[in-house]
Amino acid sequence: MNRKIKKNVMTCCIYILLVIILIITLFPLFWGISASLRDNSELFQYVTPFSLNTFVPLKMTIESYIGLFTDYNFLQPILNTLYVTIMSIVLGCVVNSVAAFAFAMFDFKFKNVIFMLILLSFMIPFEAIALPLYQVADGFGMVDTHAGMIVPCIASGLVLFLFVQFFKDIPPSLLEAGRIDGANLAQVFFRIMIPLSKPIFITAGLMIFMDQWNSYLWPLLIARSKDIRTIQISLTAFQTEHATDWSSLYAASILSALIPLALFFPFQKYFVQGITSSGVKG
Amino acid sequence: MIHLSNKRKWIPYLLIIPSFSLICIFKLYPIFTTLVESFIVDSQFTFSVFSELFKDDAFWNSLGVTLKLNVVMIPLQIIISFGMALLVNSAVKVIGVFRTIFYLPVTISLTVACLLWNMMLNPNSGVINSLLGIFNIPMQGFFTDKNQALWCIIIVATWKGVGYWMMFLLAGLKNIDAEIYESAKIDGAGWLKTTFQITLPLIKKVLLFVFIANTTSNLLLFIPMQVITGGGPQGSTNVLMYEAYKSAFKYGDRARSSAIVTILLILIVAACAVQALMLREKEKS
Amino acid sequence: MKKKMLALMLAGTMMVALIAGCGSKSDADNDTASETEKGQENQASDSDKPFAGQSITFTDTGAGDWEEYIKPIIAKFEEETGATVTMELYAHTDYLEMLDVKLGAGSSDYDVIGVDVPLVASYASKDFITPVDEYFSDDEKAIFTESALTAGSWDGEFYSPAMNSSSQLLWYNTALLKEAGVEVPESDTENRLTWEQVEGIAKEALAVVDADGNKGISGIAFEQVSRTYQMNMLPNSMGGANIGDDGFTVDGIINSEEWINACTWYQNLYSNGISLKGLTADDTGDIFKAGKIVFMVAGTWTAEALEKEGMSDYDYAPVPAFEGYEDKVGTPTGSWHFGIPKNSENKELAAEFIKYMSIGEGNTLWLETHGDVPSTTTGVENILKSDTAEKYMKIAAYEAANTAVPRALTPGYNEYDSVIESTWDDIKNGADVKESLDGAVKQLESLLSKLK
Repeated sequence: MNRKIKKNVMTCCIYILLVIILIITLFPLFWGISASLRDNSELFQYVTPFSLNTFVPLKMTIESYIGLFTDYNFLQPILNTLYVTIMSIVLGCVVNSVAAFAFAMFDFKFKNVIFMLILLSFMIPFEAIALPLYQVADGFGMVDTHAGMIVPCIASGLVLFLFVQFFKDIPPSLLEAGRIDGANLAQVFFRIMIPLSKPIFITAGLMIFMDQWNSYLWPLLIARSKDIRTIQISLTAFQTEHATDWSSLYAASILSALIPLALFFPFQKYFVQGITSSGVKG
Repeated sequence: MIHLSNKRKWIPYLLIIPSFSLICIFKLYPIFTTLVESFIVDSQFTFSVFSELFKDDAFWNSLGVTLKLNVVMIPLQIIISFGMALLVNSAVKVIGVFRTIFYLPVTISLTVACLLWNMMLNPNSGVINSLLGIFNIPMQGFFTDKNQALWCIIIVATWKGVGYWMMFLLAGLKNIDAEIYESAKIDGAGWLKTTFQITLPLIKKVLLFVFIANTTSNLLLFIPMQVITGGGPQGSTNVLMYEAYKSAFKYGDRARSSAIVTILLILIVAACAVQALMLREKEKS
Repeated sequence: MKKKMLALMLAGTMMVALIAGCGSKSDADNDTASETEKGQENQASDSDKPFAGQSITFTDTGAGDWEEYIKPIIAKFEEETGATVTMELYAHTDYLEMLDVKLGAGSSDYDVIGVDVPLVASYASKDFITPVDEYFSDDEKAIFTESALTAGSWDGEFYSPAMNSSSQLLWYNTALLKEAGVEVPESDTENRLTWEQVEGIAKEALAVVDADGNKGISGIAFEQVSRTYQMNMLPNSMGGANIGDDGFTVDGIINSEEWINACTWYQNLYSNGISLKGLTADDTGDIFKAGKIVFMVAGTWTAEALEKEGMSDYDYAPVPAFEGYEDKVGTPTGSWHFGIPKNSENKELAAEFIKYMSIGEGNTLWLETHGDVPSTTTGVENILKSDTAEKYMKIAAYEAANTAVPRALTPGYNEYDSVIESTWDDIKNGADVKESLDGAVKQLESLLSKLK
């Protein structure tokens, strides 16, 4: 009986903490959400004095959301960004997980030097290399192409580093066991490592997703024609020289935030306990 | 480590070629040209860019601000995200909903997050000041106050970032064998002991990743400065990266920008080396 | 082993395919105003047009806004010359950043670029744009107003013809003033209100409409808060200069008595509660529209914006003068100019297009449809004489020709702008005025010395 009460108290505490963090997380977004649901003229009327109307619109309207697609043609950037992002995730995971397999599982000459270089590659801010990178991309003829947005993103030392750290955590005994059973390397990779690495792939996928989805400076430089521009650049279209369409800006921002979230939600159930004891003994 | 016969020694190289060659072309080569720029003036190798930089008060101020900001922000973010990861690791109902919502600040672009917080922390009409007013606390300057601006930026960056790091730590926690917790409980270990002596050591590799990635991204943070404070008030939020950004994009002084980036790189490498050593020591004990 | 090789080869091939650009390159025309199919039909008659078959690329700010105005103007040009002009517009925030990277990389992507007027000296000294003296005769140059011509030149050469200019007025909310029972006296460009007067009226009004200070109403606001373009008019109006004649000296100029006095007056607005600190350059205009500002100094575009929003409780007056400095009134001016990047591959056609857009028919059409303050003497005259021009445009045209003070002419304008902006910000937030100005001098001397 004692243990049950203890468990319930624990659960209660956990819920309380969760809700507190939830409020802190969502609070700043309330303003953005309510701003997206009101008319531009109403937006600044109720900022002060602080009242219920600061958050709750007097006249709620989803006009801004609709306007995104009718007036601003926002669907195109969304599709462009989705395409670029998904390609980046697929290629990024393939290329980097394979390389990480090598770093985590084998010893080879120059391994440490190469690994150091890879770590260094993400310690430089993108803004610093924007100019030379543009020249490189230009040299490959990748300006104004989807490839130009995807390929430099795949070259991510950070994603590779992530995979390496996770792969190192997989008990080598599992892999040795596989090899003893006669599996060749490819089978070890595909049949043992990958199934055990579901949370890792999701995490890496998330990382690449957010990196591309919120990427601003690079698409600005490389995507010159309107048809392949991505979301973040399109957000600036709401700010003309002398006016800002706040309501649409927030509507677009919320929308662009909800899409990755909606895609993430079904995947987060794969964050399950990765290795169980039965696996170790096998 | 898997052992390879001499015949197969080339396999690892084949595996890393796609990734490493891409990194060489699209990251290492541009980085190299950029770093080299800080040593070249009028086509001559020189240290003058650095000596000019060290004579500049603005540089030393930025260095101080950067260190001040990160010494607080990095540990703060890691501790909070670790706590959140532990929290969402629990098996309570609808935990999936919570996890997803905690990730929401990550999906909003940093620029928009800055706009939202700037509005909330507005000295005259912001929500936060209104709430403080209810408790009879006087109106605060927040981003317009030179003593508060930096802490406000820490709040914005932390609010935005912790969901992101939480996800990595959660994945790491999920890698831990559930049986270990069972045997710990049987041994009578309390929650605190379990966390520090069992959980932490087991997620060390992931923790190292989070340390390094977090350190890098925080030392390179400058968008809140660009969008909200412009490095002010009175230079109190003028971090090194913002100085570098201004030098390259506003003043067209690429050499100075590259020099600052080089110094930042040294800082990042140093911080990461320290963290890596810290984690390795723990392993020995 | 075989499986792995296969997988790797597949991945490899995919990447090569991507790199080769098989990923969808945008096929659609890049906002070309003319229909090239139609053009081909008329090829016979086109061949005697001066630039038949040639094409240039024009980039500028104004995405989402200017397209509808510029497209027909370009169409006319294309028809007259037989050339093709591809237009690539960017949002305001993105444009300058993008341009910096591309010009810095020596790109030949563009033939005509929009140049933000204060950056002319900087682009010229960095060799980003070429002089256009060979394309503009002295008579043609004389069509521009003096400040537009000066602002577009550097080091004795003419680089950048103007598209239009800008000017500012004092706008005020008649509803709030009525509520407070206060009146704004009549004024015109010969007999202006004074800042001290306006300050008094604002104070009186606030005492009635927002006595407790919790309604968030501002007495006096400047639309582009803290920005150099907007704020320098205050010291200018006391006779203070923006920068030394050599384009580099700041000591004794921005920390002069005029500057200190103007900045102190400005700071007091905030410390006395007449102005509110929380306003930003992005939302001040919107807050005025929402009826929460009594007096606002803003550009000529305000009238249209207010009409669009359905806000009609407003009136306007010429910008006030400081008491005792009535003959020294300075107003902000300058807007967008044009330039030809150094590596453009068709400078002749580019210059022709620029002429069309700056002193030719294109410019007339642009002013008519977009309604800006002209940068040509003929344009200014037309407005002053016109029966149909709005009163505020006449005031603006007067200011552009008489009280306009061009922004600091220096190759280090970006540095200047950055330091001055943060100085205005610090002053607004309560920093010691003299210290801030002296600090700005020190910073600028260090930054500008590198460019000498």
